[in-house]
Amino acid sequence: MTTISNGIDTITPDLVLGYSDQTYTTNVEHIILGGGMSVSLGDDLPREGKLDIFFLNRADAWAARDFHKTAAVFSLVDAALPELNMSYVRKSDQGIRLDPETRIRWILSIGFREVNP
Amino acid sequence: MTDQHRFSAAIATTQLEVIDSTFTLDDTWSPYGQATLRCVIPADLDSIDPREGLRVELRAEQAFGLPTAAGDYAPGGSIAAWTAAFGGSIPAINAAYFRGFNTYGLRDSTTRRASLSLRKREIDWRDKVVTLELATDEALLQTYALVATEIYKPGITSVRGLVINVLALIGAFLEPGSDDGTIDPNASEWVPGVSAWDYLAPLVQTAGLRLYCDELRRWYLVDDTTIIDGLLQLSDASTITADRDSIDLDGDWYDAVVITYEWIDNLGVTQQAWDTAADTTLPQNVLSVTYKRPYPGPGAAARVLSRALGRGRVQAVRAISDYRATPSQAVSITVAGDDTQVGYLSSVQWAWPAAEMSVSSRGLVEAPVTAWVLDTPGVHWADIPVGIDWTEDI
Repeated sequence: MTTISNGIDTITPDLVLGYSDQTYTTNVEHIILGGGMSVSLGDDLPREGKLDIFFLNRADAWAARDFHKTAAVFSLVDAALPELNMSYVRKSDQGIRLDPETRIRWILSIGFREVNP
Repeated sequence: MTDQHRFSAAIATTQLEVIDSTFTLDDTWSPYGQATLRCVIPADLDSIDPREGLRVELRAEQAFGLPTAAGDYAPGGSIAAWTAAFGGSIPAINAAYFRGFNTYGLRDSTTRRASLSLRKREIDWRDKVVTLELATDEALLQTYALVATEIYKPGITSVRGLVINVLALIGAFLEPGSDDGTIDPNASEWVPGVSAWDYLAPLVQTAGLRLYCDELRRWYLVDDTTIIDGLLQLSDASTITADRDSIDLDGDWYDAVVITYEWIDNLGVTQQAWDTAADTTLPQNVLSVTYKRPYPGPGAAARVLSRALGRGRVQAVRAISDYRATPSQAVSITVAGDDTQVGYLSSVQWAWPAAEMSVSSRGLVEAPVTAWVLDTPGVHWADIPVGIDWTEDI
């Protein structure tokens, strides 16, 4: 089961339909005047990406969208996919769409950025 | 070369979340050290209020490796176990427990610590960023002015003695030293409303001295030509990322200086006196300064000129940050297409997280490839046979 909490309310999507992320390095590259290069190392930033969650009914899906509209730190816990567990904030866009096959299920796509809770 | 740069800033025990920063040391500026930090706005705004007389502790480090976590240390917690395991050799411990980034292995980190006073804060509520401006303690002398209805006449004839007296007013102490000069007692009058810095500066300059506070709150009164130990070697083969070499007659370069002193004497008559210095009979760029104080005797103009002349040819070099660089240190700059330049570091500005520093130099001398300074390290000046010029050593 997947739960997403903002510290007060909790939503439970019926399925995690899609997940993708990227992490970016903070390495600084120096191009040396006489040729060659040198690198100052830095840790990666926390992951950012896109999470697609699936809802069997319309009301839950639209409530989940409103849930993600408020300023909050969200924490995701997924028993089946523990790698996904994270605290995140919104990054760029989120969008809701109707499942084109069933015409009654809903999919919410959320842009996220992981944060240290 | 691969390294890692770390930067931290704290007020009392609170760590600031620094987004980026620049930290400058410049021996031609007052204050000597200045820093600008952009930080995340902290929850408690009073904790970054400059009116509270706050100090910010900075630490910058360039590391060439990472230590292994303490839990992984094999020999166990006792010193005896460590001594037995490594034969008492600390380099052996280093070699076993630190991961160097480079094939040459381990090298000492370069670090710099500083304690600066918070002078200004500016909060940008749109970008949710606060900009803090910090400076060394000269700023305290610059803001302290004589509040009195009579002229202060200390009757002290030693520059060092007078500086110690004035520093005591802001609760600071002068580091021990012997560089000193004499003051004409009549010239040491402090007019009400004049800042402590403006009062001291001409007296200090006239004696050919320099008063500054370093980044660790130590006040120095030193001979103007004092050189700090160490040599910063910059080469386009290893660390230089950019170099602009400029000669600008309209810039901060002067070949003559005129200082005007204006004061009201005991009889209420306005008096004027001039102190001048020129490098040539036909100056191209003259700096003019006015001080509202009695004439302390000649010397200040020559001092200002000696600093200004060295700015004629300036190498503005960017290189990977080395936090050991200190103004008044010797510097050598090697760039293909030009002779190696040897001079003195006048300013260094470290940028973080860009991990690069901007270096300005003065008094550059072209050193031919045969010069003694480019000889093998360890060859002493006295080893050169009598009669051989320094440019013909190799």
